Amino acid sequence: MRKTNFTAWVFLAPALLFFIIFSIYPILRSIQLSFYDADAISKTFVGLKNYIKVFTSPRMLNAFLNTGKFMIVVVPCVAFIPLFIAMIGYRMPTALQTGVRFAYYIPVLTAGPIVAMIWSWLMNPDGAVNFIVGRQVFWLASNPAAFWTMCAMIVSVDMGMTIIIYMAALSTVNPELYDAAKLDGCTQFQEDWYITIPSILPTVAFMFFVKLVGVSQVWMYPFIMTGGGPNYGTDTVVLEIYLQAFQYGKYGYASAIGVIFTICVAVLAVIQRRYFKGGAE
Amino acid sequence: MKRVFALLLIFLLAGMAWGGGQGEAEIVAESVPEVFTGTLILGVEKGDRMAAYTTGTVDLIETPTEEIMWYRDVVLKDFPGKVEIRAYATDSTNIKMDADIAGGDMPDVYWDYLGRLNKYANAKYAVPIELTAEEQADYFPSFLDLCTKDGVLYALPSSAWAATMVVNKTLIESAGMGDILVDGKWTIDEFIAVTEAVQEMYGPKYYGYAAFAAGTGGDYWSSFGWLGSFGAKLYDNGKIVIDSPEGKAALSWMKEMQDTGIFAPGAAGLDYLKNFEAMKTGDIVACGAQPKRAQPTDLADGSGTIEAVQMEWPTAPGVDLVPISMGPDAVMLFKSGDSAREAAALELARYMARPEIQEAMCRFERRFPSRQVVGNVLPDDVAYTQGAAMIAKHGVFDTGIGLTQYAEVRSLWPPALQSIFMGELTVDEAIDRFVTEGTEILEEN
Repeated sequence: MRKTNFTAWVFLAPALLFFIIFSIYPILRSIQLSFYDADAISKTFVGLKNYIKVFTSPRMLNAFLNTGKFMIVVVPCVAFIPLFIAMIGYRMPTALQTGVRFAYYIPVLTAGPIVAMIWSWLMNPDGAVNFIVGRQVFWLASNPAAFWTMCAMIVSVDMGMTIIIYMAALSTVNPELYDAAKLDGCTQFQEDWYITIPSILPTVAFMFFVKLVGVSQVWMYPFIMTGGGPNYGTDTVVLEIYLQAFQYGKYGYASAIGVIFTICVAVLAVIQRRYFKGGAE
Repeated sequence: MKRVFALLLIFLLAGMAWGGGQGEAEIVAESVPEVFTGTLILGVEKGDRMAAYTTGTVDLIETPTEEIMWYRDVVLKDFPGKVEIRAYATDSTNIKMDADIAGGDMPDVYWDYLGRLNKYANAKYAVPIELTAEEQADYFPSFLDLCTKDGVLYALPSSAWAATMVVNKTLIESAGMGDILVDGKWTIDEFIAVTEAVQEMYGPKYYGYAAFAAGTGGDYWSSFGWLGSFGAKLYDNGKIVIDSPEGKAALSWMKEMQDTGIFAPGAAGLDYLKNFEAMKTGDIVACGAQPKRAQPTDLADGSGTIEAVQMEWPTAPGVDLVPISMGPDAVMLFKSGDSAREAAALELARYMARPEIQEAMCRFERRFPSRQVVGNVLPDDVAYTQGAAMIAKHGVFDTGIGLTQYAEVRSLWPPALQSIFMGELTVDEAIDRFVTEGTEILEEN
C-alpha cells in the first residue's frame, strides 16, 4: 500500500506542482495584494480600503449589476436553447446531424476578438443588419440595445460546444426506455419530458454550472465592441478588473475586486449545485 | 510519505508568500566606473516610425521617401554609444512596461506619446532633467509645463500633432456658402448657417459635424475643440474645471446640435477612426483633424474628389481664442540607481530630442515642434503654415496630458459625453459625475 501511495504521489507531483505554482500561488498572492495599494514597483498596506472602495463605488456596483444581468439573461439561454436544438438535431439523419454540429461549432472555433469585430461590423449603423432592417438603429450606441446585442452575440457564440455535449449525452439514453414508452402509448413530447430530459439532467446541470461561471467572466466582447459603454451600459466586473489593473496600474484594487467577485460566483455555484439535481427516475 | 509531501508543500507555499511579500525593491547604487560603456536600452512604441527607422524595417512605411530614409539614417547613426531598441506594442505599452519595471528590466530611455509616457514621468520612476540655459530659452514653455510635475522636469518634449478643424470646401461652396471660408475664421452661428444651407440643398442626411464619444481616442479631435469654442477649459493647473458656465454651455450646445440634426446621430457609438474617414463620405461639413488632412480627398465611393481645407474652430459670442489640442511625444529616463548609466541615458535622451529629429518629424508627419529653433519646416505648405499660425495665435488647450493619472481620468470623459448624447444624464449630472470621479482620482495620488 505504501509503495502504491508513493508511486501515485510521484505521478501526481508534476501536475500538482504546476497547479500550485500557476493557480494556488497566484490566488494567494492576489488575496495578499488586495490589502495593498500596489503599482508596478511598490505597495503600501491599506487594510480594507480597497474592499470598501469596491462596495462604495457607483461604477463598481454598476459593473456587478451588469454582470448579474448578463448571467440572468444569457445563462438560461446558453444552457437550455442548445438542449432544444440538440433534441431536434439528434432525431435527424446522421449526415444532417453532422451538419448541425458543424454549423453551430464554427463560432466556437473562431477566435473571440475576431467574432467581436465581425459583430461590430455587422451591427454598425451602416452595417449589414441595418441594411436588412431598413433603418438606422444604433445597436451598440444606445442602452439597452447594446446590452441585448451583446447578449444575443454571446448566446450565438456559446451554444456550439453545449450542443455537441448535449447530443453526446442524448446518445447515452437507454433506447429500451423509449421502446417501453412507445408500447405504453406515450407521445413524442411525453417521451422527451419523462425520459430524455431526466436522463440527461446531470449533463444539463453541469453545463448550467459551467455557463454560470463562464458568463460571469464576460469581458472581452464588451472591451472590444463597446469599451464597456455606452455610459457603462455593458461594463462588467472582469472588464473592470482588467482596466483597473492593466490600464490604470491599480493592482491592489483590481485584486480586491477579484476576491469579492470570486466569492460571489462561488456562492452562486454552490446554490446552483445544491438545488439543480437530476437523474432519471 | 504523505506527511513529507504535505510538509514540503507547506514550506513551498510559505516560502513563496514570504518572498512575494517583500516590499519595494531596494535600488542600491553600485560601485560603477565613471563612464558607462555598456549598452543602453531605448524603449519606443512599436507603431512609431522611430522603431522602423532605427531598426531599418521601413516596410511599415508605404512609400518611403528620401526624407524618411534620411531620418532613418540620422536618428542614432552618430550617437557615441551602444543602443538597443526595444519596441512596445501600442495597445499594451503600459502593461508591458509595468511588467518590465516590476522585473527591474525597464529601458534606460523611453520615447513615446506623452499620454502614455506621463504615467512614468514623475518622481517615482523618472530621473529629473535639468535644462541648460540655451535649452530653457529654446523650448516653448507650454510644452515644458506638460512634462513638469511639482516644479521638476521629468521628460523632454518632442514634436506634437495638432487638432485643428478641416472642412469640405467643395460641399460648402456648392451650397453657396463659400464666402465664409475666405479668412479661415467663423462663428458658431456661421457654422450652423453653413450646415443648414447644405442640408437644404442635399437633404437632412448631410451633417455639419460627426461628434464621437465611443472611446478615449477621439476627445481631442471632437469635443475639446467645441469646449474651446465656448471658452471652456477641461483642466486648469491640474484641477478639473469643466463645471464652469462655459463648459455647461458647450456641452448643452453639442447636445442641442445632435437633437436638431446639425450633428450626425449616434455619437455614443462613433470613434475617432470614423472621424478620420468623415471627409471621405462627402456628407460632412467639418471634422476635427490634423492640418495634413486639409488636402484633396478622394471620396470613399469613388465618385470624385473633394477639396478639404483648414479652418479655425468656430467661436461662440464673446470668445476670441480657441486653444488647439496638441499631443506631443516626449522622452524620459528611468531611474536605474547607476549614476554613470543615468548620465549616459541623459545624453541619449538629449540626442533623441535634438532639433534635427524634431525637424524631420515635423517635415514628414506635419507635426509641430516644441523647440523654437526648428521653426516652420514647411513654409510652402499652406495648411501646415496656417496650423502653425493658429497654434501661435490661439495657444494650446490643456487636455490633462501632463497628469500622472491622465489615462484614468481621461477614460471618464467618453461615458460623460455618451450619457449626454443619449439623454441618460442631463449636462449638469454628467459634469457632476465627471468632476466628482475625476477629482477623486486626482486626489488619490
